[in-house]
Amino acid sequence: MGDASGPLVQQLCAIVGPAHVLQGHAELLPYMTDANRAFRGTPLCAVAPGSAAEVAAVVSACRAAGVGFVPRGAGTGLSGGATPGDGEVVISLARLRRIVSVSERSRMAVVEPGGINTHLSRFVAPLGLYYAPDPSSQSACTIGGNVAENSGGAHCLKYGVTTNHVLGLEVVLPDGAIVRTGVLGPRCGGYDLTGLFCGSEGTLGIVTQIAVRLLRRPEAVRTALALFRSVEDAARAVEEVTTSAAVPAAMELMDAHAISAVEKGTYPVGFPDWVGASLLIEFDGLAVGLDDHVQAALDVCQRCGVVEARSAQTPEERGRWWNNRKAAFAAMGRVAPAYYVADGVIPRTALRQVLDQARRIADQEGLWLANVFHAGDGNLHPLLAYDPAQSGQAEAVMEVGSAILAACVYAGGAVSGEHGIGLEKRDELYYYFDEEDIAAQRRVHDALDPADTANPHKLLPRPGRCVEVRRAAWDPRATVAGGGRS
Amino acid sequence: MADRASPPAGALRLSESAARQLDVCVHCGFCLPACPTFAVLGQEPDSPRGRIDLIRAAAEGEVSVADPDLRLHLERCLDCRACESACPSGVRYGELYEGAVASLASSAPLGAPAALRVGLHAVGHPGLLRWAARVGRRRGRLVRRLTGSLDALLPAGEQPSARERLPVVLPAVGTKRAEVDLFVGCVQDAVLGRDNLAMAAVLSLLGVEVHFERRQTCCGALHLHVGGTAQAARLARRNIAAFAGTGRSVVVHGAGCGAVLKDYGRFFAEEAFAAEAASFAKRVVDFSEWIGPLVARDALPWNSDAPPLRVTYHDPCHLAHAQSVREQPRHVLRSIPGVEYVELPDADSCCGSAGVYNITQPELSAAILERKVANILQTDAEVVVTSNPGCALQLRKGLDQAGRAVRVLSLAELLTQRVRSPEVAKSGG
Ligand SMILES: Cc1cc2nc3c(=O)[nH]c(=O)nc-3n(C[C@H](O)[C@H](O)[C@H](O)COP(=O)(O)OP(=O)(O)OC[C@H]3O[C@@H](n4cnc5c(N)ncnc54)[C@H](O)[C@@H]3O)c2cc1C
Ligand code: SF4
Ligand code: SF4
Repeated sequence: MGDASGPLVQQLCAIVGPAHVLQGHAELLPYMTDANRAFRGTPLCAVAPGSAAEVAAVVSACRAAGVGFVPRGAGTGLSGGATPGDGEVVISLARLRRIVSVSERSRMAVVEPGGINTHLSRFVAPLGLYYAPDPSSQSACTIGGNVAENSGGAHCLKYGVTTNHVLGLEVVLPDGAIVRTGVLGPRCGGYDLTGLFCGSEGTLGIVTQIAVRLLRRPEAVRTALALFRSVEDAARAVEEVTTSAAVPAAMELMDAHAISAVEKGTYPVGFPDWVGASLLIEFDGLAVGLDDHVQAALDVCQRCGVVEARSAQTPEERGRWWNNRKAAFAAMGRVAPAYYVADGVIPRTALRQVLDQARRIADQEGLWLANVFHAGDGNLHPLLAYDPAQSGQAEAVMEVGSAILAACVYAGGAVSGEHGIGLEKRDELYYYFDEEDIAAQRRVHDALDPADTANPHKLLPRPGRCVEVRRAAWDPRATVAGGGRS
Repeated sequence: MADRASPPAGALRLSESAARQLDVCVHCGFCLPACPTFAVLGQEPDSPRGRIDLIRAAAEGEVSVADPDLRLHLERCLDCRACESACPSGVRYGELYEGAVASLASSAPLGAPAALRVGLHAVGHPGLLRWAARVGRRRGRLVRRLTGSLDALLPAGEQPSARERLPVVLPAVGTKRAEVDLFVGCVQDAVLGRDNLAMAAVLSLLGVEVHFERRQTCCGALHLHVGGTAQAARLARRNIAAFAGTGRSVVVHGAGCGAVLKDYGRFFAEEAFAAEAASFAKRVVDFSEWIGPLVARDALPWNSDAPPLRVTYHDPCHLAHAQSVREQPRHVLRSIPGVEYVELPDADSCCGSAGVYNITQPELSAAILERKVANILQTDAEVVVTSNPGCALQLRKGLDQAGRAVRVLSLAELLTQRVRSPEVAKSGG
């Protein structure tokens, strides 16, 4: 590749203009990782195209040179999806951030991929509309990244994840062809390509335009905060509330460790120190009957041993609670130089069991574990604090993370709720897929990206590791990670 | 990964507390959308997280301190601290940045033009600076004595110096409620002495006895921005000494000065002087913070005949991001009878002035200013209020270039225009 790189960089400069090609080591540092600092690679260069046509030209040039390319939104991903392999080309979508059109009547917006999630909602707010998927990172992550990861968020309990809100796409395929799907295509029919690209993590091409559904702002919102002495009580409340009549819009659980971190961060709420777990419960919709739903949920909490519960009295108070919750991952910085977040999804009936197992696995390894997660839909986020400067720690936390994911799988769940597979969890797919399942997926991949230049090595497991991974999973403390991680 | 405790030879040197910020950053990227340079340039080395990566690599020896790319991207930073407000983890970016720039400056001068550094020398000498600001102005018209009325205190079209006009003690109008010390700054006073006089007048009208301590000097903000930590510390000592023992609140109108004064404790964190510096820092308050509660109690003699006015507000970075003072100025504006307050979109995004940035990075500064002016025009406001001399000059320049007649006023100056022209300090004459 070394020989090809000189001319390739020159070609890329000719396509996007030299000002939009970075190649010095110092300038490339920010592109070497995403929000998961456990993975790192040194790209050949980073380019920022200014149009879909430029994206297509860049992608074609990479393919002709046999060099892999990595799409990058805001780099808030947690599974190494936007982390380049050495010598690959990072394609930043940061300059493609226009809101192309908004149609109030059809409640739809067409946006470029580099636009930020909350910016869209802010833009359409005067129309009484908003974009529903709300990952906690929504103030920073891009809609292109959300599509690529099929991101979820607190309110996905009621409203569904990104794919439920994407109506059509424009995608630059790995060979440089541009296709338009769904409402952006000529008509419907044929395969559901929109669905295929959602969650494909840039391995099937680069999304350059997205048609999204907008929702009317709910007429009313009620938010309650319930404080429990133990995680177990709170988890039981989650189970009970979700099986009772009204589905909350969101239900977020934080344990004592997570609370101790956020209270040190930028948005403290002032939790009493006896709190073992907090539950943020939100209902939205028509104003009529909403208070009854809240009361019913709080009654359930009462039966599950809630110690204190209150409804937000003002929008500011509600805002404070949500800021506090959304800052939870980042506030880990107050506790340790880095954190590793596992991302699994389990049936709600298994919440108590898996949380308990996770705690025990972490304790065994002497690691600091915090839980803060979308409890309503059983989407666990165990956070493990570590120091990347201490050799071996990153590997140790990832092993423990992997063991916790195994526990999720045994409980009938899956390894990724919403943060994607990326580099991080590709082998863990073998916990429940066998080689044939994966081979079928790989055939889909190879049909669109036969040269394997689109975000190589992400999402799909490395072939031939099925037996090894599964054996390791039976013993949570054995090395699942193998030597491939870095 | 190199150990920061014993940095490799030639690596960037950071204080322990600055280096700790590298660990507090968890790389989440929440700060990116807040950063004006990232918004304009769209590349991550010009984002807060990217700059932290660069500083980390330089501290660990992975990138040389002589690397021109390192310098380029750090020089492009406005030090506006919008990233601090956006950071859920509480990274003190400003501390890290200023530490890094100081270390870089000690290995080779930063890109600031030589003339600028000479200029900074003048900043430490208020007299010199005032002289410079006066070039071309007719001195003869200056009235040196504080006369009786507010109008005389603030003659139209004149750029008076508070240093020259303020008495050592300006008595309270009516019953005295409190006493404060005034901090006038250097650039603030030389360029916009009017604001300082207006501040004194408003305080006096509110029943506050205003003390002007003549030994005060520049706060050190501009030096810090280009890595002159030692110079800044010298100035800090002089100021702390000047106000020692008065026990009064030190009221500041300039956001940049206020931010640095409030941070004096950190300057000397590792020295015996720390306690004294910290207790001085605690006494520093922004003008809007100080008057907020009094204005709410209707303590000013509002002029009910003043015409209606549509007003918007631009947050100076060093007030909103560095001091977390956001609500107080808005609250004061909303309290003024006849003023229709409209919120400015992205009000707390930097205007591109940022100390000497408009001189060191003219193109980028202009691009950032353009966004700001477009937002101001969108509000249809007749007046934009801001409380930092740098911001005021920058906004005025941008609005002039756009050919628009929006006036730029400081909070104090707007207040003086909305009160009945009273007899100020009658007894003091
Ligand atoms: C503090 C914190 C909280 C988070 N909370 C949540 C949460 O609640 N829910 C959730 O789902 N996620 C969450 N995340 C993870 C992350 O924010 C999401 O995965 C987000 O969608 C990533 O968007 P991004 O723009 O940062 O993408 P990046 O990280 O830049 O990229 C993510 C992946 O998408 C690919 N990609 C990016 N843009 C394109 C494109 N235009 N076309 C094709 N592929 C592309 C990249 O190659 C990569 O594989 C959180 C992250 C952090 C740091
Ligand atoms: S928001 Fe704070 S923790 Fe997150 S990347 Fe920026 S500086 Fe680091
Ligand atoms: S201080 Fe301002 S310009 Fe500098 S990194 Fe932070 S937000 Fe960007």
